[in-house]
Amino acid sequence: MNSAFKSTAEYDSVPNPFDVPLSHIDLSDHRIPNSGFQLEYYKRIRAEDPVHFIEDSKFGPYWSITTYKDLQEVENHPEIYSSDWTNGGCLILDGMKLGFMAMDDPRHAQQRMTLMPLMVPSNLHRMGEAVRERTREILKNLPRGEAFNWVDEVSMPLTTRMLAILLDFPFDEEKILPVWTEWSTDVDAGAHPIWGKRRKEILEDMGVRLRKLFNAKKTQEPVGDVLSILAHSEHMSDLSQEEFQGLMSLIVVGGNDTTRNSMTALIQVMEKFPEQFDKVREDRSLVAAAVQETIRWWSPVAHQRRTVTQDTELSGKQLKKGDKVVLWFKSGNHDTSVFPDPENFDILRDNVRRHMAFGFGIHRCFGARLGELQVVILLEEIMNLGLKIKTAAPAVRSDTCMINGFEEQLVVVED
Amino acid sequence: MSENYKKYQCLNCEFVYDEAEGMPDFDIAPGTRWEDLSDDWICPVCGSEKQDFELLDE
Repeated sequence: MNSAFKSTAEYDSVPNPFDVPLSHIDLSDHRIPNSGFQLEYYKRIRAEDPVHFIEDSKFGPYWSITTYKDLQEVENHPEIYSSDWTNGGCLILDGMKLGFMAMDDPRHAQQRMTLMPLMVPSNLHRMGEAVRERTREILKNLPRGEAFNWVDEVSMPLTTRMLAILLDFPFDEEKILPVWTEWSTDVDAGAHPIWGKRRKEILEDMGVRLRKLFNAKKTQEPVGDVLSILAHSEHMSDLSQEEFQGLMSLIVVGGNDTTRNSMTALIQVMEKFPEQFDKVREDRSLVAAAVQETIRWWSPVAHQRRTVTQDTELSGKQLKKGDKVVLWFKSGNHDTSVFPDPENFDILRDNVRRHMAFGFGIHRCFGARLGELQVVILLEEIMNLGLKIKTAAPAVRSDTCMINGFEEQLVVVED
Repeated sequence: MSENYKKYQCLNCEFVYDEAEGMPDFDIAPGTRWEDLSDDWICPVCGSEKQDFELLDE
């Protein structure tokens, strides 16, 4: 939806990463995901310059962190590598307030802890039942024998409904949720002089609408949704509008976009690696592992950003206070020193759960288990219904460095 | 006297649950064994479930 100002002809101009000077490689280039060279770019940087500095990017100078070991090192030291929005925040685009994701401890821990009851196993189980019912309904009603966009007909409606449940958002208005998600996600639009203004307006509208619902929750009995928990909490019932809006952006992206893209990636891996899914059909206890491997292989969150708070060294490079550091999780998830033959899909990897698609450390994805659950349910119901799903065209990927996402994946479904 | 308490570490954030200490701030008394933690217990730092913890060697 934000492609009006982006030219698809640009993707063909992305060079093979081995044909350009190392110093010119900017992993934030929004064209890379659609270029077909994404993994090759990561491979070259990991091999030749794993802590890689680029002076000139759309987002200013920054360091790229690309190996599993270094990603973990950074995430293990939040006191050195800050996420706080006052230092620049947690995305390559400076200054975005994204709730507790763009905070350091102790505020980060305090706010995260406030919302933790959402993610306890019994609450996930409760939400899972509603998700399963909706999943079955959507899958049963899909067209058979004709091409359609899996993103529009499955991934987006499922995750939109999950987000509506999380927020206790009116189902008859839920179509606005993916609009808010897309604009929140689009950091490239955020950096554009014209689209940035439009993005700001839309996110402010989102904040106002959700604030009305939040205010209403204060006088209602809590029902286990995000807004109820916030409204009745000790520490988060009186957030400024700016902070509230940032938190809502975190929820609509984290609670929607990432899982949506895993659900679409699932279709790709089921087609590319059918023998793996034959194993799952024979042994349904492998569903969880298959979902973990899908999430590793695809890595829906492309990056997180940190800001250095004190001069430090990382793998031989000297980082200065104030430096911007960008964590490329998909690169870590394809690090051969941890995941041999990473482009292969192997549900029997010993360390199938040790990927970094959800990050690591104190900022590990808050909704990770909810995201996993939704994809598990989708895979289970696809198999329960015995659906045969074939892609009908190459995927069109999202044109942003923030997520590894899909705009379109045409498929044909048969029973 | 040692009660042979164990420690378990989260593989996703390195938080350590120490049976000897429990988590009094979360109403989990010192001495609460790993297996006696509630089914709803998750890592207080990152939210991981017990399956993502490993027993730390003494």
